[in-house]
Amino acid sequence: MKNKGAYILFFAVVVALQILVLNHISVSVYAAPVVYAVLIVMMPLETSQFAMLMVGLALGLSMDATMGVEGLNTLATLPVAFFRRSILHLTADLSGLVKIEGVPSAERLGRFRFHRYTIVTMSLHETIFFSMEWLSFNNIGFFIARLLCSTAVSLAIAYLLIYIFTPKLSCKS
Amino acid sequence: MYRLLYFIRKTYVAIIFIVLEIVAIRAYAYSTPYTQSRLLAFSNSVFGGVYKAFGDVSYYFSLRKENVRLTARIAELENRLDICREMLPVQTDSVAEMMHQYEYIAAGVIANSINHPQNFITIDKGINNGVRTEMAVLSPEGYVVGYVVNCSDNFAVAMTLLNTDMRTSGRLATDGNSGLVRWQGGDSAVADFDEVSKYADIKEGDMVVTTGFSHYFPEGLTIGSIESFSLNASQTTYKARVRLAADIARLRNVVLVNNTAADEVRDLESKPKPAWGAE
Repeated sequence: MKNKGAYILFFAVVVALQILVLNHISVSVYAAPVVYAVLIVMMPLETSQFAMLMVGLALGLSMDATMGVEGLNTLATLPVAFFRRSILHLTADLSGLVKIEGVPSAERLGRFRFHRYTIVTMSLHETIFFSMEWLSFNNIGFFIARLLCSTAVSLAIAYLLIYIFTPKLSCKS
Repeated sequence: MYRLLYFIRKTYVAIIFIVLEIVAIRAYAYSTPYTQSRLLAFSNSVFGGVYKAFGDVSYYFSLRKENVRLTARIAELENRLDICREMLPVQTDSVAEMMHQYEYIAAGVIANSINHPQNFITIDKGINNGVRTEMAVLSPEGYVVGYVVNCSDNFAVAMTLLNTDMRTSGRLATDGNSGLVRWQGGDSAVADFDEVSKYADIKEGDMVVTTGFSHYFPEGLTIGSIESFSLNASQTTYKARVRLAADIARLRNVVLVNNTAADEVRDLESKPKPAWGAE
């Protein structure tokens, strides 16, 4: 990875945004944005599965230690990190690329494929996270509404972060 | 042997993933409100200053509204004090003793969650300010909010009524029949009031207050009012919905209540009871 510094900064920004801002905003009981999985979305295409797993572990542990829940963030983040390569192949079809490397973006993967990849990855994380948090079949309507609203808000914030950070992460230092 | 090494080489990432995931699931499954509050207390010791700075800024903008509300509250309490003075012209020792059973500490809320099944608030006072675990937490109006579950030197974490692990006893103010108040997720303004006798004279709008059975809350504090009720499936008890009196989502200040007699009562209760007929 040629732009490690930019990725470390992105990691810090995403974690700080989640801990210091999003966890303290109570817009509605239906919308609790969890956006830190955007880091996994934005990891370079050539990142190995092992490296992805370690990034997912670091991200999950950081969030668990600061959010006061043992394991919840880690158990939601690890599968997304582990299956990221499969998601990428299923949603973005990399066979057309000359070189599978660089930051995933609409320019590199194609607009539709990039959106599909982002939405599937973020939605998978939100689904695991909220299912494990709820752990009940009570109030299933409320749970579904909360999952859908939270995913929509998280995606909006994730796209904002992608828009801001894609040029910085793409720079070769 | 070569095949085994080849297999491990091909699958080691998947093996690591499965092991890590099992550890994470196990950690989450065994997490309790206590461990959660412990982690929050740790988090507060690291991020407490940052939370406080954020809280101070937003608090500054609500000061005017807060002043109006506090002035109204002072007037109301002055009126109540006058009534009490008229009712108790001579203060006996037992009354004075009773008045000193509870000590009150005012504190600010620097972090609050209402979006999770287990919600907590973080308070800007800790052990150095006389806060200790199991102190009751009330809203400035005197409505039940929760109780302190963990303290650091300068901060405390309290479990609120909006926590699926919290149970507290309540009784109908008009009728005296008691039941169990608990929140089961969803609407942050409404909790359940279960196990109320089917012979209770329950009506919509009836106030639900604390029973005083627990060591946390003084008796007679308002929890909320009955919004709806129905008999349970076996027709043996009432199950009611209670609109909570405290607006926990907008909580800025709280009052902590220390029951100075709690330890004495607990010691007494823990002593072995004499058997019937024993000499």
